[in-house]
Amino acid sequence: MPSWSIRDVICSLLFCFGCRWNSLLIGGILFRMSDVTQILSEIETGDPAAADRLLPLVYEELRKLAAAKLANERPGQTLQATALVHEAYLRLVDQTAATKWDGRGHFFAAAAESMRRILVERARRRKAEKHGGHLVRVELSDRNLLSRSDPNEILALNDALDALATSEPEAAELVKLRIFADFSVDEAGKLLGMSRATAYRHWTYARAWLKTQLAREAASSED
Amino acid sequence: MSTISENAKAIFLEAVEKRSPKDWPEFLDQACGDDRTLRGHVEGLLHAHRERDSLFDEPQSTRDYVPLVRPGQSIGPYKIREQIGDGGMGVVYVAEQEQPLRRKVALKVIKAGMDSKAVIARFEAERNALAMMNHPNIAKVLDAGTTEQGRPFFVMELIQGKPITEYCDHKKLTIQQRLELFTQICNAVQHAHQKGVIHRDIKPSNILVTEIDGKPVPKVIDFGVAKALGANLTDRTVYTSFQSLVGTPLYMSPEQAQLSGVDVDTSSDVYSLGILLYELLTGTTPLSADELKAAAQDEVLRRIRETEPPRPSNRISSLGETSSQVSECRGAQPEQLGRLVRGDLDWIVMKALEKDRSRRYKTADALAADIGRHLTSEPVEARPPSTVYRIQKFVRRNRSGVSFVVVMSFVLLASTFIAGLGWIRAARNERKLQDALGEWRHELIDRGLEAAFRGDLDAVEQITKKARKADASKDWCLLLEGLAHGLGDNQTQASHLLAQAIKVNPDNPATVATFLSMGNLDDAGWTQTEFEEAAQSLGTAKSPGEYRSYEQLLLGWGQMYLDPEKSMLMTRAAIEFHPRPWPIAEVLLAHAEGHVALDRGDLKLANQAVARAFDASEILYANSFAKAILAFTQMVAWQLAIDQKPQEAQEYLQNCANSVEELGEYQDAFSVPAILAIFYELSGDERADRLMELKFKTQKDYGVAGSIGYFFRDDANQKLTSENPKQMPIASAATFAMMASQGEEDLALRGYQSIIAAHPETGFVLATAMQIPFLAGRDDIATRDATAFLETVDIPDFPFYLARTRLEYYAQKIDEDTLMARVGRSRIGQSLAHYAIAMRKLQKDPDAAKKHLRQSIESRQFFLPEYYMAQALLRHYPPLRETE
Repeated sequence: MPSWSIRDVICSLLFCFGCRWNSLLIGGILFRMSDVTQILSEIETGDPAAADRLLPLVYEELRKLAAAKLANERPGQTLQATALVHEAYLRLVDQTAATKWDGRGHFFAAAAESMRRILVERARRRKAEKHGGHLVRVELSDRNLLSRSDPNEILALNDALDALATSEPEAAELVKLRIFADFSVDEAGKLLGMSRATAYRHWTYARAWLKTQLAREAASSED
Repeated sequence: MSTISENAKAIFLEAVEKRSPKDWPEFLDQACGDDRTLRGHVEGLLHAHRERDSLFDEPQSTRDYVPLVRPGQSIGPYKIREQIGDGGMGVVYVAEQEQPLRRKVALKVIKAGMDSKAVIARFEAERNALAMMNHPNIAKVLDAGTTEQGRPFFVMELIQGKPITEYCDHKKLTIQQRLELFTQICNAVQHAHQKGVIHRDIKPSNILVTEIDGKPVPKVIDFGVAKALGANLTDRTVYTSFQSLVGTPLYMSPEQAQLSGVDVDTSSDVYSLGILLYELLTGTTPLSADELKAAAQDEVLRRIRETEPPRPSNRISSLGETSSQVSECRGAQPEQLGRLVRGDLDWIVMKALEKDRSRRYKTADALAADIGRHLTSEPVEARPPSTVYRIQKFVRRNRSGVSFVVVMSFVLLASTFIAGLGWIRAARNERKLQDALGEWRHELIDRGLEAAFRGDLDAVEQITKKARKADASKDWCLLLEGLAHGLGDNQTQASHLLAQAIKVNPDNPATVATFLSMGNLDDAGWTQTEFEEAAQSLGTAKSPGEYRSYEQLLLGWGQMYLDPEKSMLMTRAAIEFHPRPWPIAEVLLAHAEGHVALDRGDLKLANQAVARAFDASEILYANSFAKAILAFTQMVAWQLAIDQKPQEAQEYLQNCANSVEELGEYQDAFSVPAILAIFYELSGDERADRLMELKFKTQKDYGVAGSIGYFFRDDANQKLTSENPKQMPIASAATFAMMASQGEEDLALRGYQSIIAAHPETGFVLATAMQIPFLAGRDDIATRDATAFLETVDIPDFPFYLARTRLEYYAQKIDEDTLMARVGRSRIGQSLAHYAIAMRKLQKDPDAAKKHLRQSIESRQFFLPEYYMAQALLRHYPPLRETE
């Protein structure tokens, strides 16, 4: 597997779109790219089933990207989750089509959810490894959360988010974008089609709610 | 369940979005009613909301994962050496300072999650107070700033020592030795309190013990840091959701553990000292670190607020297996230790740890004194709580249950005892509420004054609105608004409001003083004489408790143009009496010091005034008034330097010019045009002419004189030309004097008549206007009027005007020598006296008149109209005109 930087990816993609020969040059990606683009426009036209097909594609891509990066980085180096998400976006969504509709929100929501799953997966694995005495040196890091050494924290956040999603689904979506894809509250709100005021309202409540939940969790696990 | 969380969400959002944290407790009372579960939920959310957290709150750009700073790196003048500590909030390094002196310091870099600008601003606001602390047991905070990554850092005296608890255990200090160390700490904290600095975060890690000549010396570190990092400890301590403990609530006082915990004062430090003493005696804090970990955050805070700590001796007996170790560290047997602590020390600690501040030791000194009493086996002040008190506490803790008991008992026994209880409770709650409100009012008035002197009417009105809600007295609200109007250049409205304030409370001397300083009297329906009388009685006025420092400040300000020395002393006293650092008062003090310096010819005092004005104006960022006063004090220093340090005068002038340049932005603000006019005039800048033309439309030197007479109002010109001598007699006097000196004697004399007719009882107006008849060649009129005036009116003699002395001289009741003798060493007085003598000699002995005019100018009293009049006469008045 050749090691290529995000810049390489972006340059090649831009070049390809410029030439309109993309299918010839990066055929493998393109299949998924057209798939994802296709799904996004289906969601846009109101097909509810389309969203279900989006997530696995995005997840798969992100996981591969993360694994590839980790394989090529020296131990101890960090990898940015945000960069991964955006790289996936560039790789998966046809940029010429993307300008025509506003499918970015759906994509990033799926990406944030994928990122969350990747992290949870990793936390579970690490927890197991810790018990087995094997420590992973490579840190996947973007938010402080992602670099925290205690996998329990990520798992706790995961649970709390699930709980939040049952009563406040919109707020939970916003939090995912904010935390796992590192958008600002403003941007995340825009992606979800919320007004600025609504976005902040959701954020304010969700933030406080999650914090109390996590504090309770932390306290009970100490016992 | 879901309805509870729905309700909690709605109440929470309403509180966050529409209420200020101050109002939360009240709002929660109202919104949650008796529903404790609901309230618990909402409080939990609000707490979480106010806490910062690295997971949720850091924007990406401010996060970094590299060490905060690296050894070898330079931060400003500090070169980082090794790391010596890593606390919850920050990492401490040894650093070498090169400039201005070589020394080693401790440099503490604050971890992420703080708004650096706000931290630095808060630190700057307290820098003066911190600088004033000088105590062998306090490590000075020397500096603060921001690293390249935008993190705040603090620079402190380097103390190489151990936290006090560790030191004591390590050295196995006995209880007595520990108490002796602790007393030193109390004294240090007391010293800081006297300088207006509250520590807010006293705990063992902030008290390091070093050994000097083999003797342990405790040093309190981090003064000013907690405040700079955020007024509210609850914001930064307790848990963050993932990290371990950051900071600690173990030493937090109940008032700091409140949701609206900004209400922190010196007694909060006394409380923390109490906890420290507890730990020194028993080896644990009342709420142990283990308990803290186990409990949820709200629960911890609730316990701090409500749970009575176990007495130290009880704590020792319940230590269990650790007790032998704890005792050994204190050089005692386990059973012995309990006995040592039981009694006096129990009560001393419990008194320091009272939930109700008013029952704690009033000061750290009082705590130390009680320990001293214990050490010398005298009876201590702290006593076990009386039965009544304990019942009362029970009532407070179990309010609802007790009311049932109260009803039953009342029915059964109709006991007066129970009624008495209710009364005590009501009175105590009332007093607590009043205390809190009082402090809030204080804060509001502080802020109101700052905004008022800046002329920021909007801000003042917002503040007075709140102040009215907090039951601030009406006349104070009106006064603040009046002051803002006046300084924001709406004199009519100012007079109107101040007049109202006087009506509301005719006995508030501060209103009168403010009126005096602002000039316009007619709207109040007061005569100048009444004001002068009022002003004279001002110095002796006794103000009641709460508003005392404010009253004293404004009284001092009212004396500025009557008696600068007195003004200076009163302002100083006000500042000393004020419980907090008080930059706006420092500005007024600098103003008074400037006048006194000019009057005494004291360059040292002038420099002190400049430094004071400079510091204050830095703190009061973009406050036009502070900047104007800074320019004024610099002008004083410059004028004095011309005679006393001629080789440095140019430098002084340059400083002055720089400040004046900055003032240009605020051309329309109170007293700024006059400062500009005076500076341009003194520095021979031709802009003086332009400014005069623009602002006063009158001949330059007279204009300056006139503008000074009118206290530098912007609209002086309009009033000058409208010839309204009633409203601005001094400015009019200057105008008519100018006419008289230029051959329009009849017109000038008519003007003179109209001035004294409008102010028949006002000495200083007459004393100033008297130059008109002299200049018109009518000495007889002057003598006649002065004599008549003195026969009918008894006027005071303020040093700034010397009205009485001058009039007596004009009436020929005293001669030249007596006049000069009365004036003494006051350079303002000398200037006025020489001017008066010149007037008297104008016709008969022009040469002598010239000599006296020059002497009048000599001491450079550039704040007197006469200073400019004298120059104008030497230049323009035909009989005196100096030939080149």
